Amino acid sequence: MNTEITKEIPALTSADEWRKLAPAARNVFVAMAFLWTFLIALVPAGVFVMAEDDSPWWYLFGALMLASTMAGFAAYIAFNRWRNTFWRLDDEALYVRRGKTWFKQICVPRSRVQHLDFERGPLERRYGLATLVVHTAGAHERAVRQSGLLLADAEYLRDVLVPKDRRHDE
Amino acid sequence: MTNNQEQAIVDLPVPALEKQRRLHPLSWLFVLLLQLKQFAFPLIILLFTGRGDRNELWPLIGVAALAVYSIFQYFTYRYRVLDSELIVRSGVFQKSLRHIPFSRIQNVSITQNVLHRLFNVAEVKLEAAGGVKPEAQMRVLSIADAHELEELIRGHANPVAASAASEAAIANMETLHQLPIIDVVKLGLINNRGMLVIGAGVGALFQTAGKAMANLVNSSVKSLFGWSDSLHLGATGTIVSLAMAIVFFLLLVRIFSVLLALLQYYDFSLTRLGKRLTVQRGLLSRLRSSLPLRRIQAYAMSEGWLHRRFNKRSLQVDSAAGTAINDESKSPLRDLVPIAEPAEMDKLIAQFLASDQWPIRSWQSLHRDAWKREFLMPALFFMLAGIIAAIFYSPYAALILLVIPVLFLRAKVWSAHAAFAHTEHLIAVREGWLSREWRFAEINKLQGLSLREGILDRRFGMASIYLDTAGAQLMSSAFRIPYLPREQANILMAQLSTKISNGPLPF
Repeated sequence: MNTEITKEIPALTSADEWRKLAPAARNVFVAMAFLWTFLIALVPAGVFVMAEDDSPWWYLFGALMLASTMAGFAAYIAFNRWRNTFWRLDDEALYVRRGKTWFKQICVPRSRVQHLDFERGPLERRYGLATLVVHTAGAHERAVRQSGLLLADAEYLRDVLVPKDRRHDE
Repeated sequence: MTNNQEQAIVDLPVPALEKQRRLHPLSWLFVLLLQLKQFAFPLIILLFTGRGDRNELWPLIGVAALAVYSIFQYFTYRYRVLDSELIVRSGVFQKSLRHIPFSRIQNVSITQNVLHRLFNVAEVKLEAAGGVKPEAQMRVLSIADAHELEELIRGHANPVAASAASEAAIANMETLHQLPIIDVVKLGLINNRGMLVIGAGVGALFQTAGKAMANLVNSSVKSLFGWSDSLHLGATGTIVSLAMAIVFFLLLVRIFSVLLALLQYYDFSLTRLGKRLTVQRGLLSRLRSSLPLRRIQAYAMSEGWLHRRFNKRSLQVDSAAGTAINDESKSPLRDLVPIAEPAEMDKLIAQFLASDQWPIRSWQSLHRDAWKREFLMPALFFMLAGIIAAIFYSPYAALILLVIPVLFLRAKVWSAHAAFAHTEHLIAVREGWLSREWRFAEINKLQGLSLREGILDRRFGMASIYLDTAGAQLMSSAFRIPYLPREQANILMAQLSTKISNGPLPF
């Protein structure tokens, strides 16, 4: 097959080129996962406690404990998600690598980038983070969304992935 | 992605290079009919529920209003053909002006149903890339106008053919494939689309008249059983007659499918003019649609059990010319070659690809243990389901475990056929057991790649590569090269990425 092409490619596993997500993103990921799961888990727990008129005091305690355990688990998953996500940009493509148990490495060739979205929520603004959405003309993976990028990194990616001379293209 | 200027301007300073044109004078009739079709349900309900003499008139007022609106629409819809673009003015209250450059129009589709043919008119749709709605929908043009417009746009999209007069263009037209009636019948038998229609029909009936239908089914089943009881058939007799009833029903569905295929695919022809394909088909409603070859994004060739009996294969394509074309019901181009013999199919595909890369000679095998992976996943699932059901439901549920040998056989047959190929311009994969499928795409048509590796994959040291193309059907399975050795998957991904980056842009 095409051996000369293979030679030019740096090995995908050269770890030094892979960039981690921003350290601040870890706290944001964990805090958000914990809060949301806790709030959502509290609803059924609350219903359970309210179901009986004279439920003992430890029912409430147990419900809170259950909700925080679930939230803790969600936070753990979020932490792992942060730890196992990497990205890399070379001359050819943007790569995003996610997960460990279910590993997935996405490759978006730079010539296939249609447009980019730049998103920043309140927490992301507070911690200098950004979410980048890379759109292609594909179908199953028409948008690659990556949150937890350092603002500077995200801006850099935005600027390089769609060069200025192509910005005003249709 | 549409970049048409849509403006609400009443008086438009348009250079009068050519005179304005209108739709066919009878177009209001077709617009009205279409709207009546949309309102048919409420109108019928009004007719049947509105008791008393006065109420029965209400629907008529609605119809009259729609008729007036349709006539207004006819008077306000005008189009003009300029050098490089088409200008469409429309709108009764909300005026709109639309500039459609010819270069953006990817497909001109002309539809003629029976009524259209009676009045010698046609419905014309101009479709652009990536749009869900057609850029312009002309309901209806006279057949001469429709063909003139088609010719014009085809000429602009393909400058080589443009220089030639339309007569010369027709002479250049090359018929690639045609279906004789016997093949249309085979197609009906194979694709069994009648089942879909019947399923949809039954669903709709239950939805609209749920209770009454349920009662009807109930009583008819009861009377059937009563009738069979009165025949004193006994248990075996009942089973035999039930089996016969099922066979009869399946036969009926196949016959219905054949009729459907005859309606849709009668006089099918696939022609080629330069770099453009045109499909024409239909018994009562004639349909004609064309698309540039480079618009084809991915191919799927399939061969089911019945295909093999008739020595045929089918070819479907994904095109980037908008979802409007990929919509199953009105996509003459999705089933690009409904059926053809394998050798002929190979020749056709080689023509579409414009290279000598098809048929592929260098198929490469997947991971050595691919069959184990293909077997284990569903086997584990059924094992778990069988055990749980046997414990909690009934010991007979353990019969589910009988599926497992079948799964084993399936995995073995699957792995004998499964392979992938990576040539200079092409990436391909073949899979399947009872029905087989070949999927392939030109590498420069790929939009994105991803490599995936689950827990089981890691144990075997394998990974799958998912290939994303434009216009891929979201409902169908993903285009992927499954279960490659991990190292090989990495290398393939890197090679594809390089080729995509260095190759020409797909559009």
